[in-house]
Amino acid sequence: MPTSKINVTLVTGRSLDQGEALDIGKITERYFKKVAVIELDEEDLKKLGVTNGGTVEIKTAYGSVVAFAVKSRFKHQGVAFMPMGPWANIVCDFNTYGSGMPTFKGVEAEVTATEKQPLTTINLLKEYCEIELPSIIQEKIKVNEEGEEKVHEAVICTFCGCLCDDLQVKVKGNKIIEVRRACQLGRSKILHRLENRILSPLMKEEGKFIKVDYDTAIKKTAEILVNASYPLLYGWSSTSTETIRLGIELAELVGAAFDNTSVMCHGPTILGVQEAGTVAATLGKIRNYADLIIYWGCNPVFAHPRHLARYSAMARGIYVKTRKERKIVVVDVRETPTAKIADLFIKIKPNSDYELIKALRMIINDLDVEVDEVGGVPLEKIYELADLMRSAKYGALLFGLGVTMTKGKGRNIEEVIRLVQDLNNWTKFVLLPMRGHYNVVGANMASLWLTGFPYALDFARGYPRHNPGVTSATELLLNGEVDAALIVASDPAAHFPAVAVKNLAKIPVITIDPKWNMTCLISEIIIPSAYAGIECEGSAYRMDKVVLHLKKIVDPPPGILSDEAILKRIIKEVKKLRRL
Amino acid sequence: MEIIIKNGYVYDPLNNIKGEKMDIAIKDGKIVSPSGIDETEAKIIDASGKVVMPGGVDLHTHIAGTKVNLGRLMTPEEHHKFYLEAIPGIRRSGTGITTPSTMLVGYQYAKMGWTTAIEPAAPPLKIRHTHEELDDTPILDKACFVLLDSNRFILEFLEKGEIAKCAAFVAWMLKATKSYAIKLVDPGVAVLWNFGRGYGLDIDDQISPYNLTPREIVEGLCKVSQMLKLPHPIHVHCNKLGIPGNFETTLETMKTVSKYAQDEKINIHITHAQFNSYGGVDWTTLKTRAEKIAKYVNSVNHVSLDTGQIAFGNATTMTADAPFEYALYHITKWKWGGSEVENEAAAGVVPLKYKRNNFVHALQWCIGLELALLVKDPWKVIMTTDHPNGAPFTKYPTVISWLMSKNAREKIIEKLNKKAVRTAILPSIEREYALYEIAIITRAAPAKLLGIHYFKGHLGIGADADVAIYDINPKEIDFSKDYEAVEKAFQKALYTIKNGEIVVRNGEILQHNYGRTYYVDVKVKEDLMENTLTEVKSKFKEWYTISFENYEIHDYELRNPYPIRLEV
Amino acid sequence: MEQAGGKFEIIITPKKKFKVPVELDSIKPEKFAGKKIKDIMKLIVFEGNRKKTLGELFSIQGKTSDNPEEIRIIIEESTSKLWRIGEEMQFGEIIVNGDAGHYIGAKMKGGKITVNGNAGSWIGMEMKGGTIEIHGNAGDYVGGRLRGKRPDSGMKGGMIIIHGNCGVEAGRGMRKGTIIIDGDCLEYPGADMQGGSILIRGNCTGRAGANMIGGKIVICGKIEKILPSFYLEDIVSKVKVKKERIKEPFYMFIGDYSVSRKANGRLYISKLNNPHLEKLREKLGLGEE
Repeated sequence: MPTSKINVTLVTGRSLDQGEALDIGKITERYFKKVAVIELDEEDLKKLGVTNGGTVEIKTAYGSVVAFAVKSRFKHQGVAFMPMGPWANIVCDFNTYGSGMPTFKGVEAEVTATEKQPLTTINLLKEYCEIELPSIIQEKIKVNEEGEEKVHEAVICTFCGCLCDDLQVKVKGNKIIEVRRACQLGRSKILHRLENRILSPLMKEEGKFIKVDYDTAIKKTAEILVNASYPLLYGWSSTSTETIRLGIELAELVGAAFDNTSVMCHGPTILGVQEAGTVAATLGKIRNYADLIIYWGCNPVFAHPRHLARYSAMARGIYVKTRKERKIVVVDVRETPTAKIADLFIKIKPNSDYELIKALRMIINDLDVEVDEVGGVPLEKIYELADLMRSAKYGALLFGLGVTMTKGKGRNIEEVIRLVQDLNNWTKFVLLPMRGHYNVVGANMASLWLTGFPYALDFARGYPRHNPGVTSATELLLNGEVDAALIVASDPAAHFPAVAVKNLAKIPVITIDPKWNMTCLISEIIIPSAYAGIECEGSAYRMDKVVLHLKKIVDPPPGILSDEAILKRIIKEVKKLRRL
Repeated sequence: MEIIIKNGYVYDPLNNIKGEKMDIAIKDGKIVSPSGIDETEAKIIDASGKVVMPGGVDLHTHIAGTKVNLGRLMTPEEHHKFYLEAIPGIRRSGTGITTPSTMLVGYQYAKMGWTTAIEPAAPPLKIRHTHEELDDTPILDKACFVLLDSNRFILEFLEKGEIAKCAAFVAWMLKATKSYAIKLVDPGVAVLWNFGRGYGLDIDDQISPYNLTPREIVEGLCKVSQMLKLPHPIHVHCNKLGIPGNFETTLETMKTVSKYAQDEKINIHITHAQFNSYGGVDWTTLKTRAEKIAKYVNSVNHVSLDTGQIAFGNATTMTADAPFEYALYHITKWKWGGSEVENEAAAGVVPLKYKRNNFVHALQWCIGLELALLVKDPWKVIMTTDHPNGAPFTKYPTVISWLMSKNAREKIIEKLNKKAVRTAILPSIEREYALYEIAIITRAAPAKLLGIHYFKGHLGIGADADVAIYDINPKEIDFSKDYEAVEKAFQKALYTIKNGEIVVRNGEILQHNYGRTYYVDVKVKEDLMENTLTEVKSKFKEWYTISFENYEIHDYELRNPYPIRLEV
Repeated sequence: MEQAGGKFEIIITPKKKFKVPVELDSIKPEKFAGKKIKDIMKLIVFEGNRKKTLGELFSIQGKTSDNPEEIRIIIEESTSKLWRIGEEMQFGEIIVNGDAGHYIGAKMKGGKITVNGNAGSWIGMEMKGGTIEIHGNAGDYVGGRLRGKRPDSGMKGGMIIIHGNCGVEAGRGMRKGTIIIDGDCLEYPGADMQGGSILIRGNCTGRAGANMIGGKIVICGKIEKILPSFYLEDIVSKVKVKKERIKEPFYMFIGDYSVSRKANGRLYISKLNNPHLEKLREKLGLGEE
């Protein structure tokens, strides 16, 4: 009997469709259809009396939004999944609990059937920012196909933290014809590089975007930044390290806050490392030696598709050659495609990771635990896992946003680190955060070596300061504490909580990006850039901190500069304005 | 710009100048004859009553790369505590004490009159990171050493006795990683660390699964280094570092390559030897064996060492000696940053505080100074603190004052753990370093050991114009009594000139520029190289998780690469 | 008890509505003592990245004294954009009428700060003495120890009273002193605690005392779960925090044993408000009290 209303715990994250669609363009119909969705367990859908593709309203303590209901292929009654994106951001818990990281997972939600239709990307943005949006300028690019066919080997993919560097890309002239060996996320990014591109710098005038040249846009950008009392420079994770280093120089020159996307993703991991240290290894170590791999709170089949075959569960290592020689454990709140390949799947109640890790530590250190279950996991199962961990020859704990985004944040990761450190008393054990963006590690590394801090930087007093939860981009936007923003290689309007996006829309924003995205729509100035790793070179850091030099395979669209070149010019202009 | 430094007391050991009053002239970034300068056009620096030396050269300081950055990440406290404000247009900002940010590294060194620094340990797979950090380190000229002792390829070549291929591989590796010399850290230990073992690995233990011992690795790489005529010999962090009783291992390590010594040339450099000069069987029976180490070094010509002096206060230990760092973590019970790189190396980072009333720390402090004072020839012993393992490099002026003044040492000894004072021999040592000898151990000797003494570490005509001017009058000062004045003078150089540009005046940074990154490019026989690389490429795919093509670093990735080219 | 000021009042009022944070670490009685009003107006403050004088941003009236103990600073129309008020202060009194931002009374050594409104995070961070009283709610890390710092760097003394609710990790890393929360608190009160006392009169969302090895946390309201690294040791009939006695039964847990087998942190959980913990008591065969 349909009840037309159910309560679920909402979890948001990467889906393959969402990942593919975002690189085609966030303003496309495809993105809308793939991301304005909520995946419900078959039973939950039945209870609601809604068919696959029907519309539902999702309500949490933080907001309500309408989305398409999709029947999940997996069993996870009581838990619902929404792809990360603008719709999820309306209902997520925007509070960071002192960490800078909003609570995108583990939020209690009420779902009801509805006649209302989901708003498209643009209309959604219009509604919660309460502003009019200018129209996008769409232009087709004519690609020069003249020339021989050439195959580029060992191309480095620039989608996720896997930084796979065995891609084969066939080009003819300046046209990319074929991409081999990449997963669908990487392939999509490369093959669709020309779709929804911004082909000229733009400035908003009377509610409309007008074309200007780079000099004009850069001059105005420098003016806005120099005149601001507290500007925010944000993004940086999907561009080359050279660009990030220039960004830090710029932040220091204009007394800005400087933050990168780790604030939304593995910032809590960094908080854990600051307290405890870490036990890290490069991916080759895990591939070659690990006979026990634990995927905790991550779903690499969707977020890091080639990870299993290249680096972990399915990979061919020197000493551990096949899947059969490994034990795979998955710990998650719902059955995911990654859980399907596990030898042991531990289903944990949302927001209970901390308790479970504490219990594991007690057991591994031969101390009793005085309860029957922890986080919904019966004690025998916990003992089973502890035993597997202690008796592994070389264990690897790979973790993702399931642990960084839920209650506990940095404390969760500190506990993961301490657990692995404890395990080293018994056997070899390492841990690895599954980093999302292809160069978010580069952003952390460059920030660290140039300023001593890895993210959430603040140059207001002329020297670097750092305090996630206070100086992080999330807080600065949630509380409306900055008065201008430069967004580089990121789309906060699509990925920040709605309240923050609303405040972002109120201040002058400059976006530097290759494609039309949601942040462009609320910007005063848009400066188009080239894709590092496809159209220009630069360095990028893999999730395990191995650093590679990205290749240039084709030219960018005519006249389009690289992020690096644009930043250099902005710095030059700022120095002029400050008479340096 | 033309500069003439007039009437200073010049200490230029490589040119035998021991404090004579003379003028030093600079033009186009080089030292020139004063007669070649038009004094009416040039900038005149009046150095009367001041000391003039070549810029300092630090051949072992952990300032750039993956484990240094991990150190920064793990010590937010000190980055909040100490910061430098930016002066727009003149200098960038920075933070940190034991793990300073890169801008601060360059400035702090320049402030003390140092102009060249070497990052001594980076694993090849991550060395690009080291170069990015070095490129963001201002003012200094720099280079890095590459970790090779536990490299899978090297171990296979050595096990099979294929020394020529091993040499070809090393030549390729130095160029591909843009590095300067071969680094060994607790040779072979990273292999055992794959299995969580390795603590206490001794020179003749087997490095399973290989049919090799650390001795064979040291000998093999020493041979390779000499075959390739590398400007700097193998740079060795001996086995059993930090473990009581390890002095035997240190002696064996030095002795084992004496048979390869050629023409009185140094063929092994023992780094931070203080940590490897221990007697006793455990922490409570720790003894100093600095005398034994110094005795050997005094009796031969093929060994050089740097001391690795500790100073009391906070330090951040970081080495590729992963099992040792893990053991240290169990003592400090606070933070541990472990890390391993496939097929190449491992590392650990552990913050630590050296305390005067701690027996072990107090004795370590004594041993570092004993080594420096008991090795007779200053050309063989370099002053370092193994920054930041023993102390931050900003402590160099204080270490200099300890070397030059027995009074300074006694001041510290008064407050030290009494058992350590009884166990050490330092209290009985009278020797005090002369300023000339300080110039040797901080400039001339490191430049010579690095093989860059043609253009660095001296003030003869044609040298790079890297000059430091200090506010001490050697004619008027009693170095032994006024050690605080010595400390102050070295903390704040009156002038530091780098490449003919004045970068520091009165300890303040005047401008921000970037130096060069030196690396070695050795050409070996083409067919040997080809065969070697074919073999390497075929195994690479199975062993590594990146493509061989993406391993090599290109010149254009570095800001100012400067190859030292050799042909063998 | 620190001497509260009072004879000489200085009233500071913002001249405009601030958008970016304003850092007021120069506002404390020590900085005002012995200065004329026109000199106080010249004190440096930061509005975002702009260096300004106090007088440019605020109107200042009142009388000062040479003795900071006698000075009372009153900030009228205060908002959450005003940060670092009373940082490192040792003498005298500050009253904030309105809300306050972050770092209020951070590293304080003495004197008293009162906020008649809500306050932000890191109130009384690493304080050594003095009193802070917030009449509204406070944010995260009340009296907390900054990240990555040595275990001995936490709050060493003083008293913080929050009349409303507070966020996560109140009393993080504290060594000595007292924190009283009249309302509810979010997760991790007393995390990394080494000593001192925390009293929470309301409810706690969980994970109390994570990593604690000393000190005492009293929760009078509801808490759903206790961390598995704590053991239920006893049921006591009353608890005492500072001079206050609460005469009702409390479960007493000791932990956090995942940090050390010698841990001696104590969690006192109200028995009356947490009937669901009864099954733990039964399991352990603890008798009726």
